[in-house]
Amino acid sequence: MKRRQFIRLSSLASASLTVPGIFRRGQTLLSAHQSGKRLIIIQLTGGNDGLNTMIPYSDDTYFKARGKLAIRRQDALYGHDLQGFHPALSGLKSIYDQGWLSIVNSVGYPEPNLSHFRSMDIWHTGSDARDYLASGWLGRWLDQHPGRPHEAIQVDQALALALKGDHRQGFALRNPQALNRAAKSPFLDAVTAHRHAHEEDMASYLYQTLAETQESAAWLLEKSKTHSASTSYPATQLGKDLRTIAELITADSDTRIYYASLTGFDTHVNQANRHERMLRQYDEAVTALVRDLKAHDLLTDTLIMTFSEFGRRVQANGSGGTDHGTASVLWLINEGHLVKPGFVNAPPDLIHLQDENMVFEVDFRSIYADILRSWLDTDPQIILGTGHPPIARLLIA
Amino acid sequence: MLTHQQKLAHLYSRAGFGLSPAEWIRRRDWSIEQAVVDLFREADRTPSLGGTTTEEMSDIEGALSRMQRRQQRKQANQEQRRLLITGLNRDWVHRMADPQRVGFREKMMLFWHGHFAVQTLFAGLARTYANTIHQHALGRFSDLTLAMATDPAMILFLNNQQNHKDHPNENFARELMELFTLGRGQYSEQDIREGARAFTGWACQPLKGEFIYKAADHDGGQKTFFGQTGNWNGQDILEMILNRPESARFVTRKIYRYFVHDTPDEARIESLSIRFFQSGYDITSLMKEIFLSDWFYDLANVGNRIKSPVELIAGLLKSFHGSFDDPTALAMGQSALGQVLFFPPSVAGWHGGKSWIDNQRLLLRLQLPMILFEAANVDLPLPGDPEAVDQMAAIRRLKADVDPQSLLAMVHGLPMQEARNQLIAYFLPHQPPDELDWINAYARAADPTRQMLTFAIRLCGLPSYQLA
Repeated sequence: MKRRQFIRLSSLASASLTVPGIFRRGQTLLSAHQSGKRLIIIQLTGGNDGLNTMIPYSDDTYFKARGKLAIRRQDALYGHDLQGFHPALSGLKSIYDQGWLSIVNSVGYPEPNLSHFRSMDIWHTGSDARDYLASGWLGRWLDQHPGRPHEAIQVDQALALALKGDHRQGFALRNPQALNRAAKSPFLDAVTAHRHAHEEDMASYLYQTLAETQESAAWLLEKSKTHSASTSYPATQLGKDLRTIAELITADSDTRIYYASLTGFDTHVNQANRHERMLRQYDEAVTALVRDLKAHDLLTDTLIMTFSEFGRRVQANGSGGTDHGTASVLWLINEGHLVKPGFVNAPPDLIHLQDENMVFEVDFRSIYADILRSWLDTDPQIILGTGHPPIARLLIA
Repeated sequence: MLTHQQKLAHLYSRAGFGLSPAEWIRRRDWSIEQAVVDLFREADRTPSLGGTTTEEMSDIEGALSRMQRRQQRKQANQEQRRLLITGLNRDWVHRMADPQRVGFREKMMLFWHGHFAVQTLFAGLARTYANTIHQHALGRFSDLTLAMATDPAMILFLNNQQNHKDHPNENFARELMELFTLGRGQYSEQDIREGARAFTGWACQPLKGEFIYKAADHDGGQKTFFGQTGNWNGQDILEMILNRPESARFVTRKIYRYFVHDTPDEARIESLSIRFFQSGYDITSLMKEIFLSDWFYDLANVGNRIKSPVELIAGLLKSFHGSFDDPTALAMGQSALGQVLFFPPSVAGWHGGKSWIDNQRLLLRLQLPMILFEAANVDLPLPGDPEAVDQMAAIRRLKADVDPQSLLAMVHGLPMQEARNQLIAYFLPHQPPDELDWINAYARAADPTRQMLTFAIRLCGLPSYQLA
């Protein structure tokens, strides 16, 4: 046995003594070669109710405002004296117990916009509420890092604005098999084979995109065959998507950024059951992913960020739900690079509201800036521009 | 250098959505002047949207009353809204694809929809908005801007309904200057605050879809806008904004980038905008000047613009005499491709250009003609992989009707090679036919008719077809 391999095995073995059962199951000793840090972003679409995700159970205002929707202290999973987890988040709670989770309360931006689409665009582009940018923050990162077309992958039917740069774009796929089937017909192969030197920019751009799609599709399919997930994933769409990501990561696919999303958080009516269901879906899929990454000894080099375009109103509405809000909670998962595992800041201030909504405390771009600097080796100002709040200190480079 | 026919094809693809095969045969030897004059003649005779859908409306009403019996009222209302607005969406797309027309006014409307971008889910408001754009699309930009400032969908979308005397909301005033007229850097924050005060009381009755001026909610105090102090109303603000040549330059640049080339030629834009300003913002003269200029037909301006999803769909329908039975299917197709009418991503409209394309959407676009024919149950020897189409499951339910007779008539009786050349000239911007000989191998069929049709669909599956 080679010395390097031995060290890896022994460190894994010692780790397994301290990790709880759910992270040990299905563990394999396969370890992928890996080239640097990876970022996975999970988007909760529709406006996730942060207050009912990380429960501020020591705040009477919460119980008054939320009435029957409030999660009781005895039902919440204990985090610390001021805040705990929604009961459906038992996996995330275990990740927290391991010290692999940093939770940031009250994340938002000035002049909050309550439209799903607009607020999502603001999060995707990293712009001010008054600006309209045509490129996303990760797309602009791609512009700075010439590489293969699949440098950033979104597991979806189409590419989000976050991954569209001014010059380069991320790569969308639902899974490598489906993409390869779509990209590989005899006719499309012939199209690529017969492409001529086109003078017009746009024509060559299209032909090049097609050729790169075919090339990457074949390569990713090949890679994804070499490794498969070592743990079982839930049969939900998010479960499948995160499994695809895990397969590509363990197969060492050169991809630095992965993007997945879960839709259905717009809980205007009868929130309790629906929100519970959504969080459970999230929790099961993410717990499987973390377990899988841990099993491959890849959790130290993988950072998972979960966000939503906004939170929800403090006061419940009259239909057993909550309306669009502003600041919400965001969390990061990683082993070993979190400056402050656990709850990073105080629970949200529910007294001093603006137009009945919470006032943000942490600008999301200060977190982006931290990720860009500490995780993606980039000067944040190049991507986000100047004049933003100071860089958050959540990550150890 | 372009041939005369290539120039005409360029004009029709930019000013409209291309021509149907029959119209192409009829017009392909027209002079440019003749064609341009005819564009405006057609535009003058274009009826407004929604006049033809009474029958469909009653179909929808019927479906609704059945639904209402079964389901909760609220759900039915949502369904009603969706059906009505997708019906309007389809009506507009079918106009673009009308085989007898160019669709020039519809193209201008699409441009203005992206410029004065509004999202609405209410069919009544959408119809009013679309027809207001229809009315002013080739009139004076100043009239169009005033009409948009009083349009109920716009008022709701940009929160002017919440712009009160005691508590102004700056959203409309800001976008008016930043996105609709002057562009960034041409005004101050004070201009926005004071401008917003001038638009207080400009409200609407959403259910009636009517503008109302609430005099009691209007701030009648002194306002200082662009350094001038007075008791300004919204109309005064619009006038002061449009008195600045910067507004003409901003709008001209946007039109140039949409109709001519994404990379602005500042000298040309400057000279166009001076005349646009002097004409009192007459959109017709501006468009005429562009279409009659020599540079519009420069090789560099031809075939380098990525068609928007709606343009792509309309063009295909027009060439193959297609139509959508089910308006929902069309809306789903638009959504999969990234452009839903009455639902631009934000007030900044669609970004356009390369942003239409990602690797998945490019594959979907290339397969779109095949999907349309499969959906229409036209049996063609195209070895499509059904799973490949699955990447956008929704689009499989497109349920389009197609009738390729007019396309086949265009090449009827011609020798095979000549017929292919005709199809290439019709579908693709200045493509040398000999570069495409290889397609023959992928267009084999039992009889010449089906072979021609297969060849045509193959052409529409090329990346070059994505360009106009």
